[in-house]
Amino acid sequence: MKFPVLSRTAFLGLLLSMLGVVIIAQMVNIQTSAVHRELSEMADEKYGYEVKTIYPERGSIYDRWGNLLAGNKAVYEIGLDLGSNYHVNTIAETFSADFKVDPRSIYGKIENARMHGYSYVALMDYISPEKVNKLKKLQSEFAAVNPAGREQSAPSLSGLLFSPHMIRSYPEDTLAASVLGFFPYKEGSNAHGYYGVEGQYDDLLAGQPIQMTVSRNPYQLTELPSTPPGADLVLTIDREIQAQVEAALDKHVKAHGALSGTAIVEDPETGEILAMATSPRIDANKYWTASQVFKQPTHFNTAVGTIYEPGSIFKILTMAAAIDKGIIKPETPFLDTGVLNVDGYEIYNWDDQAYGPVDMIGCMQHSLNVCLAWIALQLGPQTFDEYMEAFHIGHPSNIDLAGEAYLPFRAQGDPGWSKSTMATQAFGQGVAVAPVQFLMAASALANDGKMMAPHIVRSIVRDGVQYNVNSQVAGSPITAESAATVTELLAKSLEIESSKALVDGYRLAGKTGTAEIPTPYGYTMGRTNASFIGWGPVDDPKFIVYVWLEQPKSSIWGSVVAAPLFRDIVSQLVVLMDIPPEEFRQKLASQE
Amino acid sequence: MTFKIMHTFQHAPWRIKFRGLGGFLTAIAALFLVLGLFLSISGQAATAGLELRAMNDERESIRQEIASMRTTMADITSVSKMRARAEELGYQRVSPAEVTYLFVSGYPGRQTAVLAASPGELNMPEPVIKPAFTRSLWDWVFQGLAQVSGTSGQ
Repeated sequence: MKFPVLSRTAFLGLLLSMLGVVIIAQMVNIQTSAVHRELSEMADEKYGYEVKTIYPERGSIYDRWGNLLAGNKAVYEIGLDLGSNYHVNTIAETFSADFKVDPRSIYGKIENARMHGYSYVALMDYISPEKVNKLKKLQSEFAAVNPAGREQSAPSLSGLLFSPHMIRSYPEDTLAASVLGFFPYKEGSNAHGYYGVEGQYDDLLAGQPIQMTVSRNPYQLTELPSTPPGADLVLTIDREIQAQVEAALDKHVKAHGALSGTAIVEDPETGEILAMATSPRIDANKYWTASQVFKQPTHFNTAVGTIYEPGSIFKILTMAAAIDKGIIKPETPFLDTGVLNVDGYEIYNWDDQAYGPVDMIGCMQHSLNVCLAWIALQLGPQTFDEYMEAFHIGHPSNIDLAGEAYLPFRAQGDPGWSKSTMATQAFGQGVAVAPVQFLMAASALANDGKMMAPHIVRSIVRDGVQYNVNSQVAGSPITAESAATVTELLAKSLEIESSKALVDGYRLAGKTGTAEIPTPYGYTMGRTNASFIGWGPVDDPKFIVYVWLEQPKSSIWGSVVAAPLFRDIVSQLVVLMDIPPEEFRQKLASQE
Repeated sequence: MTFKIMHTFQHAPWRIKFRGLGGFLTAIAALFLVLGLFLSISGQAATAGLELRAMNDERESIRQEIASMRTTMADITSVSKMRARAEELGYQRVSPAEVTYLFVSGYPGRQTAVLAASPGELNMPEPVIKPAFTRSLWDWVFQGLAQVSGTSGQ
């Protein structure tokens, strides 16, 4: 029998084919085996996908002219890939020289991470792009001589990784810090805005984070959804006015040795806050200093967060109520004996003096407690309380800033109320308000009897659309005629008094206030809250300004310390707001 | 004669082997061609995927850069820095008495910031391409017929 003989070529072909078949069979086996499936599933589960949370960029905050007050900027985390050929000595020395850090802390971090078997360790964070670029340049220079850090004897920054991320930034530093609040970016994804606009509008500014599962497999690439940034806010604040007001406030707080100072500038026609300044304040970029600067959280923005007895400035509301009710007129006579007995409680003037026969202008000019207590008695408790309610005394102003404090007004029928309570409330004792609340009440006098709701946000920009916030009337406690009468009365009293609040060329109305500070043991001697509220120009008020100095040391009197602060603010305000002097406006009116 | 040559060629053993081998190699080549094509397309898809991921990262990086630059610009033009620069240039703050006012009829004054369109301004823009170029033949016929019947009904 003869067997077929394979040629050498055919034999080789057959051998190679068999080898191919074996390889393919093994491939199929590997692909379909249970072990492979298990491994594949484990790899998919562990490394195939990542859960990604995309945080939108936090919305920016602008002043009324579009100047950025709060934005975001990129900083870097610098870390080390522990699987690389890293040179711990070079890294420690470079960081010590460039970032002034203790090299031992770098050694410690790396050693600790290595011992725990980590593959990455974060060495520093919040490093500016400029410093990172410098470091990257140095890294490249070392890499040119010692690629990938293979030579242990040559320096290398191999293995350093730079991860950018955003942080909140306040380019104006301390400007309007009490209005803006702050965003504690070091708290990472759990951070929320605190105080001011950052606190009040935190949800809007933060936007809506999106969480999604993203495949690492490039074949299964999914489209990342575009995350719209948080809403931008345009404030009513005027940056220039804010800066001038802060500068004036800081100067006067320092000059008079006051514990703190507060100043608010508002447009009485709209309720828009043009400036809201407090002293001291923080640099919001260093928000962690807040606990050192402020003894109590309520002091962060004293304009809204702190209530105090306003003292004599409160007299303007009592006077307005009585004039509006028709009980008195500016020329109504009053015989001041220097003391008034109300249900056994004796009320004296601030200087314990008797001023004799005066009219209502004289009452305000000399700030007579006895006169205003008498006016309140003429009004009667029910009417007095109704007017205070109409002026929203004892209620929050609902300004759009976080942390507004208020104290309910003690009215007839409330525990501890007596007629003497009302008599003292008439001149600002036994009643407490936050500056913004009193400003809102007083704005009725500067705006034809209409009280505008104070607000700080002018527009909200979201998804490419700008929504403007409309001004709202919070109430009309008095008529336009009454408002004009009180304004004129106050203007005359300032002029007769030759008040330090007056600004050449402009007619202004206003009132000083010096309030003793209540304690559990009665009112303190020698420690006061000095305030001034004023508006102008009298014939068409464009601004209302409130200032408060807490416990000034150079003088306790509002007329001495608060009135000049008001003047300093107004003298710059009229320039910044393009308000011409009385003479020019009258000339213009006569030409028309 | 021709038949004889053909017959000889067809029955030459080495030619038969070459034909078989040729067929086998052609099949192998075709298989590798298909595999190569598959690998090439897979490679391109993977590259595109990675490029897209890199572009996403780049977009994020650019977004951060823009935000940073905006903040840096605000820092450079901040009140304190502008004031310092103005003072360096010899400017002084004016007092109300030093200001000369001029009435300009019709001047509305400085306008507040407009960062985006107001809700009323959000009308959809008119399409650049006329509908005649985009509608289907069916739509054209249908709408044409509807138009004709509508006109005749009037």
